[in-house]
Amino acid sequence: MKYLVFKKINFISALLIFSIFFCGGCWDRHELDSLAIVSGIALDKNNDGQISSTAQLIDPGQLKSSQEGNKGEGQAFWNVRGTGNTTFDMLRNCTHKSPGKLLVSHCQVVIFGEDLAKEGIKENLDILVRDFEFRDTLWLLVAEGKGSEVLETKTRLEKIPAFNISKMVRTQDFNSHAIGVNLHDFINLAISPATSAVVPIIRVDETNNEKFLNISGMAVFDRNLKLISKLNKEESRGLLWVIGKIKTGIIVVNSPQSNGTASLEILKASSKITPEIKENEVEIIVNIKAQSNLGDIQSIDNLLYPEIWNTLNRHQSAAIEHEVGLALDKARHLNADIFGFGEAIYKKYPREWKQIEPYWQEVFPTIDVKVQVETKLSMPSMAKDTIKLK
Amino acid sequence: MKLEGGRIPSSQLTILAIGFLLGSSIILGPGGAAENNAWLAVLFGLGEGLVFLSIYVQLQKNYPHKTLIEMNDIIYGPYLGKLFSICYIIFFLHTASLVVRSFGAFFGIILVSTPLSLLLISILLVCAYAVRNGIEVIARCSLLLVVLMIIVTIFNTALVAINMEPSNLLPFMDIPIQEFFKASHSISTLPFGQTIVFLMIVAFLNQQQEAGPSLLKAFLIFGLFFLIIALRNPMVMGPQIYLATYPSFAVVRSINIADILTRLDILIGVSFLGAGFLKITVLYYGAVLGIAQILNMRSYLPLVLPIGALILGVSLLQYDAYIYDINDALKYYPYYSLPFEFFLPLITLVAAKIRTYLQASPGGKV
Repeated sequence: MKYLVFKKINFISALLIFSIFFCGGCWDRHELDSLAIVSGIALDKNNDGQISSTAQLIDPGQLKSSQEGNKGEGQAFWNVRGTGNTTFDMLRNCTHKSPGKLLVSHCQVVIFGEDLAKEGIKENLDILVRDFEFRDTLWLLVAEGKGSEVLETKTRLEKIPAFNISKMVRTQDFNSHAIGVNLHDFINLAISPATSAVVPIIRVDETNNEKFLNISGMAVFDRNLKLISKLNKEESRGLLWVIGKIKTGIIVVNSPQSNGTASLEILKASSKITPEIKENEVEIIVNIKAQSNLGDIQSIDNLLYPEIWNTLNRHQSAAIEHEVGLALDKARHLNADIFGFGEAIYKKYPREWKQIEPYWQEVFPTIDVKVQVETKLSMPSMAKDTIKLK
Repeated sequence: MKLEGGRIPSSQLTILAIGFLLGSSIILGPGGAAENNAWLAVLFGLGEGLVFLSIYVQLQKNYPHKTLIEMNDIIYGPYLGKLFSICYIIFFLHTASLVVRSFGAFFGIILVSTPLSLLLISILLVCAYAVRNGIEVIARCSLLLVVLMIIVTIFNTALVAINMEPSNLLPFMDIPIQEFFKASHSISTLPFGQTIVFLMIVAFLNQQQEAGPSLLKAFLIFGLFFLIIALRNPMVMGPQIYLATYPSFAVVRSINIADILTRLDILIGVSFLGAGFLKITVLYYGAVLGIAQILNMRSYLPLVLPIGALILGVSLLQYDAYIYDINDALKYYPYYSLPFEFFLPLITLVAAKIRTYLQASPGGKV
């Protein structure tokens, strides 16, 4: 009898374990071949005023073909366009053309066309935070022109344009002329009572009939999430200095003694925004610390003298101050608090902020901003002097 | 014949209590309205929870080896005592059904087209099996699950450390003071006050005098974990924490270590599976054992499945959509649960003290 019971339990356990293979996911199971995997989405306003979405689907068959040597035969992606009343509707309507339901879990970029961004992207954000499949880590960008054109631009090194864009966004860290803004950061910027949101701008450039993509700066949104202006590369770098998001990059300065230039490579940088309220006057102190090393120098300066280094270091501080100044001027001109000064005031003076908040738009351009830059320059690396032609 | 022959050591009681407390708090996240001051609300909630605990421990000290039901019978007599017991049992059953529902709702965000009842039945069947096997089995499997949950929580917290922005905790106490106390009070009733159900379990402790210290240990260890979660979530999420239905889940989803360690959603799923199972099982067990004791049954086994079906039915019928549950959990539960978690035990304790005083005094007859 005992033997029998034992056998029964064995049988039931085996049955249960075996059933995992068939019952996984219950009613919601999705087979891989019935899904259309989305790598990127572009939202555009068409010429007729309608809004449409372009979803970039991955063609897995074409992805692996490169190893067999027939590279460039077909493209590994397919852009499907959908129209509709809401963003979700547009995306779902893509299924009229696609062979499967869109799976957006692997969507890495969402690109807003310029025309749509100018009208405001408030309505397009909700689905991104509400839907389970979208990830917080996807990048948001604004296209100069049409977003769908950006998604169509094939590059040589990456088979899927959207993944290429995603990598490009991350590569911006090496220049710090723009910074990737993911969905998580963007939502925090959007719901902030003071800060204006920024996202990188991407555009399609063409040389010798070959199209390529270029991240050309940052787009500035107003408080209603409407695109109002663009920061060029220098202004973007100025913004990044203030918010402490500089990773690395090259600062080009004049060489101290003779004519020529020197490139300084930023090694590390940080910043601190300190608001002060004195006698009803708001003052912002931005303290930037940077350390860099001499990357290259095109002059015949004698680098063995410490004064040269001090001068170079002063040039570096001046260059940083110049970039920050450009960004500040632009922000004041646009009346857009891209730096998060309001947020800083709110965190330090929550009570005073409640009085300032309704008037922030008027207050922001008049705020006194003090920029303090402390820089360091490291010792030379492989060469201790310059190349001197005799 | 005893209803429950099992005995558990105090170390297992601590672990079981930690698992019970982690229960729904592992996904719901602490102190909704307090947002970036949730950590302070957790400390206040823990303080209030310790007040509740001291009442329960006092009761247990006066009546060692007795469950809550038996205590009521002794203190109030067989009829009034049973009335009190029925109140507690209804509370256990209802709380169990709430936890089951929040469990189903959580998995329902992914399994949209799977019927809710199927999700609830599958978890309840496992719980029923555990209840059937008695307290020893429940306590022993808690060891494995709680260790897993704690490791997962530490792992998650370490991985999101690079996303943490300490300035998100500022400004300090920017919310109205009554909102803050609402938040801290809701933490004290859910989960701390729900440990009232442990009065059904401490009766089976090996060493009765260990009940207080081991539950206290559980409160403090869990409090520490809750504090870490309450600090971590706003630091990672920033102001948008008000947007997230399940803040801890959103935090874990944001883990991205060099594009290799990403999409760790399942970690929260697994730990909630374990924690939810323990919490439901303990409440379920408390209700089943309580009913068996009220009815003077020789075994509680015949009650297991019917009570499970009752929990299932209540949890399916009480809400149309989970949003009501969240609404209720924040709005009404802190006050709805207060009689069962605080007033009734307090009255019982006072009654017990009066009774022992009367018995001890020479003139007392009772």
